[in-house]
Amino acid sequence: MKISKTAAYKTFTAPLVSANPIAVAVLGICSALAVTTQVLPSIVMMLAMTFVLASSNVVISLLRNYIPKNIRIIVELVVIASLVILADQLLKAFLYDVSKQLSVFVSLIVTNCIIMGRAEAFALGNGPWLSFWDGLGNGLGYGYILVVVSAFRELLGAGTLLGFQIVPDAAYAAGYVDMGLMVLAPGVFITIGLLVWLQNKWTGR
Amino acid sequence: MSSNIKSFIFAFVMCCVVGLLLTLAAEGLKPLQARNMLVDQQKNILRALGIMQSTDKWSKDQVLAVYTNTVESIYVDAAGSLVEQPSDADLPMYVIRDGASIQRYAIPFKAYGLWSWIHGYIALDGDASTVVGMSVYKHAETPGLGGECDKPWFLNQFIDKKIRKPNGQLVSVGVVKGKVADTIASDQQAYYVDGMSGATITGVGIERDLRTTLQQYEGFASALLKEKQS
Repeated sequence: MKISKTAAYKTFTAPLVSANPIAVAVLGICSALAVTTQVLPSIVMMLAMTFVLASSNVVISLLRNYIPKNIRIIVELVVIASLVILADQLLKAFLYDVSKQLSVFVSLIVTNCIIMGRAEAFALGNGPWLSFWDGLGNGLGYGYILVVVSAFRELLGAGTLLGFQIVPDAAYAAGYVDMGLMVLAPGVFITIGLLVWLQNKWTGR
Repeated sequence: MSSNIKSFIFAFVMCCVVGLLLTLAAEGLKPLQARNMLVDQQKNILRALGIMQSTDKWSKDQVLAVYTNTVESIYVDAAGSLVEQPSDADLPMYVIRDGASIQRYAIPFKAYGLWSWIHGYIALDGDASTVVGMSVYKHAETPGLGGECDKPWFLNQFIDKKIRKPNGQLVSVGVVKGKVADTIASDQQAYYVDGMSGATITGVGIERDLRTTLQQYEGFASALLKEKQS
């Protein structure tokens, strides 16, 4: 059987394009707004988010037959919150500078609608294997939009990418000015708006 | 068994398991995190003292080694004399000595901006008048506006500014609205730095609380000056 025919492959790729959490479902915008001023924090946010999403999906899927129905949302939240605390602690121990930059947004992964949404909509009804791929796909689908948006913002707003100067000094000397708007919140709305438009144009919705 | 009791048991067991796991993780990672925080603090002190440039990328061990070899952490009381056993009222300082005399010293400060306390260090030369450098390590100001207060372009302006008139009066360093070159008379420009556009309140806060902090250290500054003269 070809790999592209497996259920896991389909579960993994759907959220990357056709069911992208940001570009199609427009979920998780708050954190997309906040962390995308530079590329590096966006990449770390993508990794943290994917880690939390994939593990929470697997854990909840494993527990799905035991979780009492009347407290299921609370159980999901406890699982997600614990994983986020774990991710935050790991960042503080191994990537201190980035964790300082992300500050409160790592802990705010808890409130990211994508995670709760996938737990409710997917992990409660599917096995751990598929849930893992669903979490991975959604995390990366969310993350690559973040990275694309942040690349735009950092390049136009500060003239750098990953901290390296891209716009040459000669351009500044000739009167080029960084676009301050891109660093602020409106810059994200404009970039994400354009991305959603491109996405819908491409998938023909 | 009724479903309510089952829910309670499930919740109880889950809390115990999760609590145990998180405690283990937090305790296990604590030494690494404490080390990171220490390195970060020392890095900022070294930056303020002008030993480390904002473009330098030093490893953690390098920071720790340089700090241990050059910087001495001391406490002084309000009159400026050294205290062996510091109490809460005493003032912390980080000094670099040249022989026995103090060559430069860094003072921790915190200033209230628009949203948050801005934490940092300001370092002065042994003349207690010239700024050698400044660093900011923690704040929650708006990125791109007040958040610029931890950027090198803003902090490096403080280098070589004066906090004291030639007659010895403390004036601290002011943050102007706009550019110093446009707003301040040329003989006063040594006491001011450019403000951040869109962040007047952050600038005002830094100016106000920096002056308050420097005033607390006036006892030490006059003791230092007296010692230099004699």
